[in-house]
Amino acid sequence: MTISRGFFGHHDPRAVDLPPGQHLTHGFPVLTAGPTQLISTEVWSFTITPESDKPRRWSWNEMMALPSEEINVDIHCVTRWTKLGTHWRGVALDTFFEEIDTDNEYAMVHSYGGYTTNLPLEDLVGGKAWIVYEYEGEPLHAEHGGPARLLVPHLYFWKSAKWVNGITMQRSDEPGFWEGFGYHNYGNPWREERYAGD
Amino acid sequence: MTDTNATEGQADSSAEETPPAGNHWRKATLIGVHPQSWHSRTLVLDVPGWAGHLPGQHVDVRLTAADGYSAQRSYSLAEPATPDRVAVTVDLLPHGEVSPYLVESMELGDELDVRGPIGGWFVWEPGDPSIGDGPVLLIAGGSGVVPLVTMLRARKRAVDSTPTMLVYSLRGPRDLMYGPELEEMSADLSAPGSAEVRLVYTRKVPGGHPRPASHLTVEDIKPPSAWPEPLAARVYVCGSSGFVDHAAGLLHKAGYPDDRIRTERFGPTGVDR
Ligand SMILES: Cc1cc2nc3c(=O)[nH]c(=O)nc-3n(C[C@H](O)[C@H](O)[C@H](O)COP(=O)(O)OP(=O)(O)OC[C@H]3O[C@@H](n4cnc5c(N)ncnc54)[C@H](O)[C@@H]3O)c2cc1C
Repeated sequence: MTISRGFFGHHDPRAVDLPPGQHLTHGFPVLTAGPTQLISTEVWSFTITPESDKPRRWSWNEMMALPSEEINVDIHCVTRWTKLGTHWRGVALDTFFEEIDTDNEYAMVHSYGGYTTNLPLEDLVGGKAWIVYEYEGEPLHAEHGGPARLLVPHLYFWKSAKWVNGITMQRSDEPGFWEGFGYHNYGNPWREERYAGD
Repeated sequence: MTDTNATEGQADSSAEETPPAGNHWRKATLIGVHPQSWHSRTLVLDVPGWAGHLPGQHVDVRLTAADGYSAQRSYSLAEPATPDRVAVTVDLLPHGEVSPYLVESMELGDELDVRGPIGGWFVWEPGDPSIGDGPVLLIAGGSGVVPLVTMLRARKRAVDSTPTMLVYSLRGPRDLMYGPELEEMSADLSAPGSAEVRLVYTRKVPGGHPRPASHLTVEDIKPPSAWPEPLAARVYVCGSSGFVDHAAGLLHKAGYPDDRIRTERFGPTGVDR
């Protein structure tokens, strides 16, 4: 590390709880490649496509009929913003995957607008990921991925795809959108996996 | 062109042995400063081994205090590639942690760490066929002008004649970055490397400026009538999250398809929704 003469920093006492290289924000962290997508709940759907090629599709109303959970987590954006104590409501991916028969270990998440991101299946199940549709007690705003987005809080926030509309199961891992532009394939904020090779 | 050579050099180096260029911290020494507006300046850094970058990419900057405490932020690369050299233009956020040091405290000879270049999406390179040869519409809010001016400089350096327009939204005359350079670039639109520049003042308008103060409107982003196929333009929008959302909404209204719009956001959204 190079010492920068005359730099003292803010020494936020809470900073000890943050992943390396992150700092707190009271706004909402964003990393979005293009414009906000405007999708109504009438047209929204979510589809999981396993290797059998028999996709299972949920409409908005079908998703709302599934048991939902309240989720209270910190979120970490690769652009270095961390936001503490965010509240969401949504359906655990475990609930969707109960109906899916797959031996594939990798998932490609798809969004309206063409965005993709890749994750191992084990990071989506086991109470680690949700499809969320409420933020701080209100319907999720389109700017933040509404009507529904993926929430995978243990990874950098670009993995929590906004405007999510499906997951395709894959035998092998392939890079999604940001992963193809030099961002880390996995993205664990606590190991500071920001860019390829970290 | 040095830009292209530098990046090709990077791609050719044996990927197995050397880590990708963006992946290690390099010591950088401040060798030049240029004031830009009342509260921003360009810092020119000597970075031995810096191989180059594309216009639109950014660096991560790390400051470390004597007691080991450190803070990191991202800054757009403010100049087209030059070997061993990195420039950033930083706007002061009055109670911020990092920008006051970069804008007010850091002196020639002082050091920090940089890492990059980062980002391969928000880039435009003159003459790059993979990105297309349609007109280029650049829309900046505040310090979001920095990567867009780097694109304009690269275009000028390459004597590229792609029709290009910069629409730059700023609060008032004191906020204007790159003023003389933008004026020169837009003075004679028949000169090679020139570009149309529209300044959109949102709060305070300088004397003699024709447009009254207001937020960016659909009129402001209307392409020059000389552009043959305006909707075929590639659009780059950069600024705060709120500005980017506002501009993207206007582009939508004007009929630009989403897949022609690339955005870069400098901060979190202000609204806590
Ligand atoms: C890819 C990328 C490129 C960037 N390029 C540039 C550049 O070329 N020039 C430049 O000046 N800045 C740029 N930024 C912004 C820069 O990284 C810092 O966020 C900025 O300098 C403020 O840092 P700070 O430490 O002074 O303030 P902080 O201590 O981080 O901020 C204090 C508070 O102010 C608010 N805040 C901080 N930044 C912003 C903002 N931009 N908009 C709204 N609220 C904010 C936050 O809520 C924060 O809690 C870029 C950011 C990104 C992600």
